[in-house]
Amino acid sequence: MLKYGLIAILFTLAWCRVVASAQQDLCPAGIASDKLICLIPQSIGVNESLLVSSSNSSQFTLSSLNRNLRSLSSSAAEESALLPLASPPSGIVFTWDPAAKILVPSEGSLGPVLADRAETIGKHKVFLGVSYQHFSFNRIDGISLKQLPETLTLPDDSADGPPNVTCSINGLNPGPSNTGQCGFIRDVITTSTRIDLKSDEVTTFITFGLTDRIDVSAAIPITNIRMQASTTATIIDNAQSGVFSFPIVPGVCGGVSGGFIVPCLSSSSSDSRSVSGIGDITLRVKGTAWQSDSAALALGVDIRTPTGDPLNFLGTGAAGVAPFVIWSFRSRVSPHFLASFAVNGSSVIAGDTNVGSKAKLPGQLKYASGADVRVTKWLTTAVDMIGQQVYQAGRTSKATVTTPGECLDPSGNCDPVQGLGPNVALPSLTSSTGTFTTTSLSIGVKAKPFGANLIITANTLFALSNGGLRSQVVPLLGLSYMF
Amino acid sequence: MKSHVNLLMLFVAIPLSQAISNAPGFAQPARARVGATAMAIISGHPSATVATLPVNAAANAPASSNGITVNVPQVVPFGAQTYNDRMQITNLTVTLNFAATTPVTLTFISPDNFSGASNQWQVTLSPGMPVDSTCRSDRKAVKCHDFPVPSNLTSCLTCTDNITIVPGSGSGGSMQFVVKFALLSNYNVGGSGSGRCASTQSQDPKKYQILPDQAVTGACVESYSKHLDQCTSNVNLIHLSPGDGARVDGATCSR
Repeated sequence: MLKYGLIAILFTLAWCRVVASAQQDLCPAGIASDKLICLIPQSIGVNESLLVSSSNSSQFTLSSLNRNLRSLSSSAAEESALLPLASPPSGIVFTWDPAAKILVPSEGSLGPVLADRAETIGKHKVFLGVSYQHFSFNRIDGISLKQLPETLTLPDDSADGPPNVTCSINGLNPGPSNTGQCGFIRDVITTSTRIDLKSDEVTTFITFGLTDRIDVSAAIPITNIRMQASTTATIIDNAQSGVFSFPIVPGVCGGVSGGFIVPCLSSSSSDSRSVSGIGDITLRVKGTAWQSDSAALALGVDIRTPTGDPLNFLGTGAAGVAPFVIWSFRSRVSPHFLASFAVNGSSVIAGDTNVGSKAKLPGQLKYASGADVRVTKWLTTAVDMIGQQVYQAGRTSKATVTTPGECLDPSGNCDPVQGLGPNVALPSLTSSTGTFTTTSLSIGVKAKPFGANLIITANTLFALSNGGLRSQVVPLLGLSYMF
Repeated sequence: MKSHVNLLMLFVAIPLSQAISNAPGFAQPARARVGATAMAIISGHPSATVATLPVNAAANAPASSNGITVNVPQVVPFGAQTYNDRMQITNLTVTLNFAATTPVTLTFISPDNFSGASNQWQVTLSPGMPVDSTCRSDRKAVKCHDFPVPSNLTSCLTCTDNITIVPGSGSGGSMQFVVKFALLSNYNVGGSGSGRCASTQSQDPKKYQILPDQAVTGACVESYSKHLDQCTSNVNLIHLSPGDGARVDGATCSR
């Protein structure tokens, strides 16, 4: 009763937090936010590193940069909150000994690590476990987080060119809209952002055998996430006019030379944050629907509660329900198969962070297939292929932006007679929505070195595909005990 | 009486962007979009060939070998970025005419004090002298000089006044030079936050002296400012009307 009361309180608190933060810019300009989801967009906004002083009214619009980086941030938030948890109750299975008329530990393997098996732990048995996983994310949708490029061009400008001429990079090239007094429109800013995102997750599992065939479990993750975003922005002064400059920092960037203000064409900024807290608590009910001497089929459902702070990548900010089915075969080599489909509610991290609106989190089809092998009575190895298909999720991909070539006129007047360089394609990012698949290989061991009900688990998850936010290698250590 | 006319006064109203483009020695992208007009005064001493002096000049100096004093008023309180929507005067152009083509030696005296450095710079100019490629602010410059950071502004690393001299293109006198002052000690271009571009001119007025070793037959000063958001750029200076800018002390200047 107390447990249900606590869960209801956590539900209410999470709901209140999400509602309170809705319908407003989650990362407002000029106001430093302590939320991780704002770290990337604000690393180039709040710190003024992209404030460009100019000699005219034209300014580089940061909207595309914000749009893509915010999308990246949201994707990171979504996917870091949907990381796989170790299997809650997979350890020792107790079976009914009809001769002794008691439950006895089975002689089979110790079960899989990140997958699960169909058997339940046994009536009134309690499984308590804790696992630690370390994630060091290095790619999102196949793009290295160490170098995320963006290219910014100037919007059309009717104020700073000759009378009745709108300066534009989209006009006839060369032409009056992009040469002469409009030469400045050729200037470009390129940015390169590096993101270091690491996560340490300690998850506590509690499983209780309600009956011989029904378990209830809870997985309570506590996570520490560290994130650093570093951005370097460079003005490409294609007009050679020095019109645009980052704020001059004497001795560091730009300055004065011979009475001439040397524009600051490069600017770097870096920001980092670390948060810790409880993640989304997952509740599980699993029941063995069919069982023979060596095989079993279980049905169940995972209910994810939005107890983690979604804006700090600790949780999803939305409840989720994931019915699952598990089949497993018990022998010295025990194959198993798991499939589940998660349906999620709406969350701010899936919505538009510019206005704080919510959108539905992507659904996920998860599957795991593998086998656990009893090497000795006290040692089991487990190998699994773990896949996940994420539907209509935010995606990031590389694109190119065609920028106009430089003016060869050194005076800054961009006289077309003096020549123009060719157009240049520069790398950038673009955001979209789509379905992607991730595949990972899990290899681990479980050991019962002291002969009792204490199990030590070690596992490594290797990323085999590029979809979504990926950590190339995820180590896991666990300790569990069956009462 | 007509032969004794010693004052020629013209009021010329031209678009400011055109005025900037026309400013001698300022090779700037004509991108200013300010639609205001500038009131220009040309006045002159009897011995000056005033008609060839640039329009928009604030004043002419009397012919004198004692030199001229350029008077730069403080228009923004020390430490403030703007005052009445204006920034401190940031640039000056002084056009000097000489009667002869013989080399002339000019001594510039800065009003600032410098730790361990002279506040004077002496230079000899002659017609047809070669371009000095080390002068960054103008590709036609024949001489240039940076005064160091004034001793009262040591924390402002960019507060260095620069003088760049360019041969004049007008036909005033027999020899003409344009002296361009970049008064970077007047505003903190390298500052940060509210200190960026804030006024660092503590003297009111700030007076630069130019001492020639031969008579100056005409001298005009033009003044330029900037918009606050343009203070770190070299282009699109705002041309100030004579009443708002610097002047030459002692010159007869009337409207």
